[in-house]
Amino acid sequence: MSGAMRRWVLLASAIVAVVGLAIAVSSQPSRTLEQQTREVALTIRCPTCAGESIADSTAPVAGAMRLEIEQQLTEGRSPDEVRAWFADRYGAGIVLAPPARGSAGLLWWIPIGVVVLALLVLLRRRDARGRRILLAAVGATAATLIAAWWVTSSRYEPELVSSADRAGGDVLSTAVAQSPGDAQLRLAYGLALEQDGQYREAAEQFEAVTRLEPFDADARYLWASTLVRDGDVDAAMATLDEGLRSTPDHAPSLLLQGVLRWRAGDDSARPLLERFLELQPEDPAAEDVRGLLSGDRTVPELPGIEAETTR
Amino acid sequence: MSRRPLLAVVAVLAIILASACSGAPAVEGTTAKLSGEDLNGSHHDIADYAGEVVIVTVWASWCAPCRDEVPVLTDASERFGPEGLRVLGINFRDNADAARTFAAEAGITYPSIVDLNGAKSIDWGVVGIPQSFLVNREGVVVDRVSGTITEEWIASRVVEELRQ
Repeated sequence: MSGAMRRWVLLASAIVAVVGLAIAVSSQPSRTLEQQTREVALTIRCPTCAGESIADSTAPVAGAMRLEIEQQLTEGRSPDEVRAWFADRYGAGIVLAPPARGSAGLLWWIPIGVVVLALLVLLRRRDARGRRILLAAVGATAATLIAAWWVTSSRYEPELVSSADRAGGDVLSTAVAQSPGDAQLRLAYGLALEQDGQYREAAEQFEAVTRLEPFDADARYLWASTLVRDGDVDAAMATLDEGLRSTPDHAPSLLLQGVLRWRAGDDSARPLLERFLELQPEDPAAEDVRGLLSGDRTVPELPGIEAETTR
Repeated sequence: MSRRPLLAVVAVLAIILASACSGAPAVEGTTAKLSGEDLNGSHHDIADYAGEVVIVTVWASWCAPCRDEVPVLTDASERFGPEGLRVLGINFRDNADAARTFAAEAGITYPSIVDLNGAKSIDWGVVGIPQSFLVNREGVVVDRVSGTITEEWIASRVVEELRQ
């Protein structure tokens, strides 16, 4: 290859590199706050899970960390600033992709500095071997930039919008897979599964909602009632016990646990049902409960367990 | 370039990179900052406890192990209160009614600052609950316990700070 041709090849490679970089920067799709939050959350390690980011974790602490990311992005902090904030509190190891600022930013800047230094050294060497290495380095840089552009431009495609013709459950399933830490999405998906008769799968979603929102008594009740429908009465009773410890006056839980315990011959059923009547005297189920307590009625039939006469 | 300076540069870079990659919690050694309203609406600021040793404990009504450490904390608060020990709770992402019921049932006597969205706890670098921190008389975070507080920790670390 002649000297002039080499220069042209070098120039062409440089142009490809610059154009690739420009495309990579300019073609970033505009993201919603939720997408930006998830993008940052994907780079923060869940402190209580193994090999999982907080974006995909249902741990309560991970939920709080996601809220913190959203809050900081709303206040105008950049993703790097948010990551640096977490690194300050949890150590640099909390960041899966190191921020470009602060001490962890050295992880980015040192390799770049080394490459620039190497290029300068090669430029000073005027022999043919040095130029070949330089040519290869520029080509590799161009290829890397083009690959980076391809990867970044292919992320966050509006899959949910384009899949509007798919079944509702599939859309929710995809949405939950993309945002596993979103309690409302999981709740909606759980309800869809329950309507479809997939009680075990629905219970798993409600269980995840309960982990994300531990004080959500309604979600815990849904989890328990779905377990009953799935036939796992013991697990349902344990779940209701846990919920009633933190929210003792949750009327639906009192009713369900009261009925389940009544069926099991447990004397503790009566105070639960009496408390339910105190809280919800006008509830449609109240008349049945009064009849049950007075011995005039049978235990209300529940899906997953057979009806039984009064004790 | 001779090899010796090059090796020195590589060694320095390795040390810098190793420190940048460190996963050690970064809250220890910093000045404690915590303020807000407790479950009864009273305002508290850890800065008001200057000159005292403070145990900051993060709990929630839905956290079963949190109940187990309450007797240890209340006992420590009573025994070492005259020596300058204070306990300040952070109620993490909880329902206020459930938290008050839990506090009454478990016998929590110390104030607990409400942290509805978890932001205060995350600012403390909390990785799970229960988790507690020890703040010395200078207001600096000097230790943390992940999990339930034990009598042994009170007898060693807390008493050590109280008697320094």
